[in-house]
Amino acid sequence: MTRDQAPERTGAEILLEALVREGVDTIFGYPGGANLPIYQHLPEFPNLKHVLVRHEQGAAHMADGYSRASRRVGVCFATSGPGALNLTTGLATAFMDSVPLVAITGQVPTAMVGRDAFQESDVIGVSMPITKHSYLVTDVKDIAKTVKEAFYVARTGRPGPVLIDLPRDLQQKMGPWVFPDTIGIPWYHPVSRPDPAAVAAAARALTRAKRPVILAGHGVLLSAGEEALLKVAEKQGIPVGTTLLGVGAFPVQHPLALHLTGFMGTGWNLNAVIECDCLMMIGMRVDDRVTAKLDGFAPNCETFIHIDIDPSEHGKNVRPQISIVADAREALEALERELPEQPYRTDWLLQIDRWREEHPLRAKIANSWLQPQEVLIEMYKHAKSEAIVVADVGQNQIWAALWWNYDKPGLFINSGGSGTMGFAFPAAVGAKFARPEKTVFCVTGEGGFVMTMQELSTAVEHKVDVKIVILNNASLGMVRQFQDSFYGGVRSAVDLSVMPDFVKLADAFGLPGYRARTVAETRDVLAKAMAHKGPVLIDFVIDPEANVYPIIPLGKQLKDFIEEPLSA
Amino acid sequence: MSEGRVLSALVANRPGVLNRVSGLIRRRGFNIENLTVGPTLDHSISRMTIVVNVGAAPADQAVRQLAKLIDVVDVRDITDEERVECELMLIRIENAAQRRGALVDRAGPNARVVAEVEDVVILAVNGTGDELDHMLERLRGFDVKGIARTGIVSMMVDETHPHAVPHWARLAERDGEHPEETEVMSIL
Repeated sequence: MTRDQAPERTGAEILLEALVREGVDTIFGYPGGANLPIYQHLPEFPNLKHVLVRHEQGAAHMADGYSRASRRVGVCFATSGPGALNLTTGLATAFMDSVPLVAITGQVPTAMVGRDAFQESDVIGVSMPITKHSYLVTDVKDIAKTVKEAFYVARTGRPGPVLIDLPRDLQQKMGPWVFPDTIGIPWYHPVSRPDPAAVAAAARALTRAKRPVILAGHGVLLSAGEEALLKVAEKQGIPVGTTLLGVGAFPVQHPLALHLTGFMGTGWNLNAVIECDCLMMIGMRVDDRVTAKLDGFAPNCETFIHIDIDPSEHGKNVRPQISIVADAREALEALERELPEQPYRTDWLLQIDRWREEHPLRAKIANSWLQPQEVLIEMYKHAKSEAIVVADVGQNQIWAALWWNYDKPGLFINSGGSGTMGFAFPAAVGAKFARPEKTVFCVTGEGGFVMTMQELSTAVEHKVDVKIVILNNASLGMVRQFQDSFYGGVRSAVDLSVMPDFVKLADAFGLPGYRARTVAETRDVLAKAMAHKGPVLIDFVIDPEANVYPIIPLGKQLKDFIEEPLSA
Repeated sequence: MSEGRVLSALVANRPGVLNRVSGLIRRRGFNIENLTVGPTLDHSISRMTIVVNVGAAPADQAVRQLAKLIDVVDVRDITDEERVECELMLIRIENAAQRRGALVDRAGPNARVVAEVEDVVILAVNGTGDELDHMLERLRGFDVKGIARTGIVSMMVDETHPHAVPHWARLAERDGEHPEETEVMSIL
């Protein structure tokens, strides 16, 4: 159909129709002066379910959780000025973790742009460093193609959030409804196919190695490469660890699993990285949380192999000898074909088993307090490998990453790069919208939870069955632990003993709330929570002195990791 | 200017592209020593010549980061390629009427007098960055009160060099057409 024959529709209708064409089914958003025409037409699109959040940050995090749980593009709406600015923390969170989102913000009418109009802000300027790309639409004819391009950019290559800023007058203006077949950026050509020569070199290096190790990051999950990773690992018996965002890329209970690496990784993982002679890092940025002090990162490694779809990540922190710019799954599949079978390296695997026995994950269970690890173990008994755990940031995040056997992809969600407190609860709501058949736990601290707890109303309104687990230690636990360990023991501005009564708070929001102080009470309230359909909150009063271990002291090397002290 | 890397970028002629490029260079911790933008034969594409000081970072980091911008059609480091560069400078000299002959002699054939008002002479001179620096040295004895420099533009001599062809054009050649969209499998 040519432009001349195309039916005329308003810009708002064109936008919504284009979203339908892109397969969108859920939008998290908030209306306001500059996006009202979109909301005027939204009821005409029954296939677009709109979730009214209680703060725009919640909309961005929900879209993020939705995307991570489903591997689809998350969508959020906000109005101009403060509405759009409230999205920014969520956009930055998605950007750091390469999560595909499309955010659509209303903008003041074209004629008012640049005149400090009511609720005007330079959203393109503000969002530039925290989005993969952004568009200010200036013509109603460009709306449909901008939407198509935005989704394409968001989900291809290294995924990321894309923002479309749409002035209100264009939402009301009539234009032709034409959905383009092609993308108008021919030079944007995200490389995904691996270079065969580099793959062959990687296969030779792994085969030659005496002590190979694979570390897997978020890219493996984003590319659905976990099966290919398993095949590569099993072919030669190569042990596999994951980054915090890579949790789920390799089954934790697999004999070759090294579990979590880096700053708060397991002892057997860190020892394996220290001693390995060939390290393949795949779908990860190799950031400071993985390497700790750079000189101590894999000091015995002769061949670094780096596989990542983003060329700028290669050599940014660690110079690899073999560099493969490719989609993680495609690279792993190619590598699997190239890799010859050979007997497992018994000495190396036995050595890792010894480290696993020498450095097990430990928790103290001696005192009268409920320990956070006990809560997670009891939760796991109910959920096994079928629940999604969305963690917040801080101690709760690391406990939730370590004390659970993630055997499948997409079951652990957290803000790894940005470390955004308040992420977990709205992201858990978004994850539940994406995967309604799954049990969804939000594991959070009391500090992070209150940063976005207004979304309790959203959850209650839509009967979103999220089990909110507050690990309440009456303090900013991770900051307190850092102050104790690295900042002279001065506990400064970390006390959170004055907080709402969370059981009463749940009641005020209209959902059941429970409290547990012992393991017995934990079992009891978890049984009640699991039986309940709809959101439920549990306030676990845990040991205020509980710490995260293992941990590498700030500025130290991998080998300097500290474990949970043995009880006297 | 000798320490910097000379980057030549083709960028989409879209609003905000200068902001995207300069903002990225700033937030990645590099210093812009020089940046010029101008149209190309294709009006939808502009060419930028950027001289950037990458400090301790690997020299290719700036190129790799810039290449990620959706509006950047092509970018490469041409510092060590066979290339030409050119910059334009205007020089304002006061108290020049008395010594106009000496001034023009000193400036040499590469400089033109583009304005002359009362006691003020404005010279226009083009050349490489180094040549312009030398020109200012030569005019040290005169009353130079101000200069305006454009920053360099640069171009590779060898048009058949593979770098002269944008990478997307080469890829399109290889693949026949624009790539199919890659759908990521759902885990459901």
